[in-house]
Amino acid sequence: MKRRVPILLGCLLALLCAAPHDASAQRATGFDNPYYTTGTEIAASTLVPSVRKWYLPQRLYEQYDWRQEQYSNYARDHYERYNNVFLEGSPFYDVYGNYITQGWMVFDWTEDYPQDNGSIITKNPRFNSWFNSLLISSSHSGQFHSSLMVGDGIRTTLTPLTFSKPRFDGIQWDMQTDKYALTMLSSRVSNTAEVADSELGGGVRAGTFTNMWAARGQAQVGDFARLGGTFVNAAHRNTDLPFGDNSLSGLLSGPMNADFVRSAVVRITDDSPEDGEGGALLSRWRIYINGVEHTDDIVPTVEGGVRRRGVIEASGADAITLTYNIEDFTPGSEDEIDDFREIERIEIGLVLANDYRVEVTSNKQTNNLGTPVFLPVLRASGNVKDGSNQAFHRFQYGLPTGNRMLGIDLLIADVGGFELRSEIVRNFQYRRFPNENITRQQSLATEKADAFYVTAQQRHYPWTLFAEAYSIDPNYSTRAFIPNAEGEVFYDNLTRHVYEFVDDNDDQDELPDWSRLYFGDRVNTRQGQGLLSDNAVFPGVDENNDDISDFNRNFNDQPDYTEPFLRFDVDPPEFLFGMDMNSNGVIDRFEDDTEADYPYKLGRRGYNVYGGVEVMPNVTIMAGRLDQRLLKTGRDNQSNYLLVTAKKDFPAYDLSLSFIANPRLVQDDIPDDVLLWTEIPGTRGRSVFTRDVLAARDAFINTTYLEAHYDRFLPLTAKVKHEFYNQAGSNNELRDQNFLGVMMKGEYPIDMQRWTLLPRWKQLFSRQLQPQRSALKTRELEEILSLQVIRPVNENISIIGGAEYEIYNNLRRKPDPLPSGYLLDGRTLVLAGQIANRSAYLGYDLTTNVGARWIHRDFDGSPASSELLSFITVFAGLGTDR
Amino acid sequence: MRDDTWSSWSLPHRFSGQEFQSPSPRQWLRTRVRLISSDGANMPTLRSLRFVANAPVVAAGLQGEIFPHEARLDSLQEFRYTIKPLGTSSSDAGFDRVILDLPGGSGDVELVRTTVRGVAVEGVAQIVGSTLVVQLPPPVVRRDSVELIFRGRLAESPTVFSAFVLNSSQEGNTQGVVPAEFGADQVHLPEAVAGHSLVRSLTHSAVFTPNGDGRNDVYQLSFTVVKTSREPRVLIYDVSGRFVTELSDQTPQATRASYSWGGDAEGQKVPPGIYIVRIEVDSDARNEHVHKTVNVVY
Repeated sequence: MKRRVPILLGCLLALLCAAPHDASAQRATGFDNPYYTTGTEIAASTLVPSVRKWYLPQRLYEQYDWRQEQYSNYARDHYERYNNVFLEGSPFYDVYGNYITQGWMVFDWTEDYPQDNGSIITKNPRFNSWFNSLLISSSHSGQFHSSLMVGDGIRTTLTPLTFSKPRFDGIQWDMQTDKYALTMLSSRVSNTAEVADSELGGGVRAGTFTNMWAARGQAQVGDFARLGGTFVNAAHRNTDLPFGDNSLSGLLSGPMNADFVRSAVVRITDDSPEDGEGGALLSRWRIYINGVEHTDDIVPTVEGGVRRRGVIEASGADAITLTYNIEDFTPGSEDEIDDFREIERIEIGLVLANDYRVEVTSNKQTNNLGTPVFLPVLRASGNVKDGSNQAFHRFQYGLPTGNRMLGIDLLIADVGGFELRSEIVRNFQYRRFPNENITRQQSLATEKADAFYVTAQQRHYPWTLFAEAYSIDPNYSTRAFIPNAEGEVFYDNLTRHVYEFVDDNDDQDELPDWSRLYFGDRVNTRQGQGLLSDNAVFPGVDENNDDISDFNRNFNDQPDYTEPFLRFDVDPPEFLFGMDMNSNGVIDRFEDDTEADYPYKLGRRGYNVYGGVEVMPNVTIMAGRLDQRLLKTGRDNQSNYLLVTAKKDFPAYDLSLSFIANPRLVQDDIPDDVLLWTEIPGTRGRSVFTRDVLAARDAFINTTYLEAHYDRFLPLTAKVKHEFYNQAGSNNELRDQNFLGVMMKGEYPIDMQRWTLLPRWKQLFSRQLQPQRSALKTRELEEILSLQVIRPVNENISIIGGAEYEIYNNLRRKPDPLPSGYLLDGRTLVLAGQIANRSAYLGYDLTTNVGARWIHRDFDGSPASSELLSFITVFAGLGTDR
Repeated sequence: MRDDTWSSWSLPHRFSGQEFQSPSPRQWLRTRVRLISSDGANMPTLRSLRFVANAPVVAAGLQGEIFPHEARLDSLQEFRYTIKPLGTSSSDAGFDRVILDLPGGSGDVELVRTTVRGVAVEGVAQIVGSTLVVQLPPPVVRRDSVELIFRGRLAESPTVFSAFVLNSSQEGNTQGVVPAEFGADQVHLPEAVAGHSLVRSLTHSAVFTPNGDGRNDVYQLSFTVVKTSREPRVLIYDVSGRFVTELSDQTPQATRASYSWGGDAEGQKVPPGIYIVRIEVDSDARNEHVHKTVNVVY
């Protein structure tokens, strides 16, 4: 003890010496600030032994020489109003009490456990008005760089299988050195908080919420390889509980955990209803309460299906439902509980066979109307029809609480022409059993799913070898359910209650293609403000990478190839060539679907290999094989293909020719449905969900494409595309299909003194035989003639007049009676006039267009119709394009 | 109304007075009449539809249940099928014969004893095709429960036992026994359901001596195929992978597939050595190949 006293005194002395003096501490901040707090001290002026303390140190005395008891007479010295001492903001201190700065708190996210509504996100109006919803706090030192971003719409990708969003609303902290890189993401995804309306607007509080945390690290190995690891986790949390009682797997709280599971419904359906055979077979069912079988007392009501030979079969659209009344629970000798309100775990056991899909719901798993919503728990592997996959499946019931991805990836770049890219991810989906009597450590069920891909390429000129292999389990999910402000989850509301780690963004623009919570409504886009979803999705057609669709330059939700005047430049996709590996008749890069954009589609496994050789400059031959199958239904796509591309320029003749041929032998019964732009008669067209008719179930397909540009005298472009499917199998439902498209166009600008004439001509011929026998054969010719007359009045004003005349001829013989969908001949006349004024104004390049466009359509068999569009539009440009 | 007491639609009845075509006589029937005319000017009319049916042997109906509902795979086990009349009527003819359908996947069935109202009686059992027919001693049963205690092996899960009764004085007047509830007529085999393997309980002689001395001259192989009704193939190869012969199932109707091989191939005895027995069972879920080796010694 005697030894310790000098040691303690020594430490105290050292601390006193080391502790900065007030002034030195103040200097340590680097600022001379008046807000350094010293705490309460014994001021000499207060040491007056009087009953009434006439003076106490106060700010008003310091600033205005006002004392509490002083008579206020402003006759001589005029009154000075109170100054707003916070015009330059408030002083702020860190968690140590150190003075930070005088200013404004722009963004704040705190989580306080345990605390009622302890998660608070505050976004000061300045977050948006000053910083346009993006804060970047960066640093670098030598090769070390760091950047912490807070934003409402950050383009964030960790890996294609784990996290990729065009608009991530949250916090991203990136660090990078020459060899290593690290990214950490964090977001309260259930409510990322609106920007406060006013300075006084408080933070957005939440007690039951979902947090998403993610991290990715990568290391350069040597100078050719890069190894990465990724972790993404979204889980329900609750601040009412201590931090330690929350879990990375999530927990149920608030309304999600209120009440008890009183009824549960299991639904068994045919996982391949379209084939009409080998439906789901159910032969036995069991229920376990806390691990003890209770099949005899909790007897389900069995409905639906067809009972035969000891099993119940659900085929096609039929469904078997087992409705359990959990309140029927009767404790037995093995049970440790007495009442259903004490149940911690419910497991259902089913003997299933064939092609089954099992979904489950309960009174706790509903939509906003209280209707139960089924969520899948089991699916059969393959499309088994002979019962040979019969097995007993036991699964635990619970509500989704979290989703986690763990992945590693490897990239090898250019090692002697060899390149490799690969990623493997394991997905953990967590469910917990709701019971309001159990607020922590609720029974956890985990479902796992895997995904991987590897692509490898070896180049050795003129040879190229490429291979890719991939597999994504059907139950792989990058989706997490999120509660609303009240802590409720409505499981069928994808827009409000689902957070996606990987968005659908087929056109790879700045907006996801689907409607989800919190994106697009806070950040300006080229397509406008306040968008909840991407309303113009034309994938694969931004080849000049200007972030403007080549098919929709005016962002009017209508492809340009259908619009007057604009359609001269833009050709319909069916006249273009592109790879169609999934043989659904749509060029792959133009496909628009409604699924998360994984590199490969969900539920598929397969490989693709090809070898290629450039036999002479710009002439390449490639041959390959694709073999992929659906993991759940056994459907597959096997394709052997050849691709020949050739391009030749003849400068002496100003002629350029391109030729492509793509013959392939395909057996593909995997449906690849897409959203396809469809011009429905009487409408202006829209994207329509279009089913794959599986025209290549057993077919030989060849696509040939020829494109020519001839500029010797006047620009002339010609494109010819021919595609046919020869049905090789005994499939009588489909016939041989073919398409022949010929497009020719030319424009001939003529300058005559102050006039400019722009005559244009475009011809589209198509002949199509669709695979469905009921579909009409078509043979059509469109001639489009247009003329624009441009007359500058002065250097600012110009007048543009234009006319376009379209002649549509249906070249097929007119049948009697006319079948539905048969288009009769017709004419369309478009007249447009516009006065454009371009001038400088307040530093902007102001363009004002005033004009009108009149369209008159006159088709046989239909009354003529007209449309008139008038416009007065002012554009303020920056003049950078002059 | 769709449950397993209903059959699918019968073949059409094409003339009046035709015998009832439905495969399983039941308490209820549903009729679909299709009126077809080759003369477009005349519309056919259905004036009356009459059914003439025998009175059931027990008018109130009969319920049946098998016990136990679980059994071991391919194990000779005792079962009890109980038939209970649901009511009595003095006009009932009663029954004195019970026909128990032996479903696929059951084998080696033999009757152990029969009881009427819990009292053992001398029932005469006979296997007819895929049925076990038990003739009960007089008097005919009208209101008593009947139990058939029988032994058998099961390989299919669930195995469903259906029973019919009839009165031998009214041949052809068969009455079906309805399961007491869904599953009452089923026996489940958890062992068959568990695991992925399709080939179970395989036994074979690893060494045989086809030298004609009457001792161990034949190779014996038997196994049970579960979950699928696909026929297995058994092929013999030599150690160099050359095909030798294919064996055929000796008991194609039984639950267990049995094969024997006398060491012959193309009419000659094979040379001594090690041979590979390959069992192939192809199903939608998996194609299973099981390999065993057998030593041929002279």
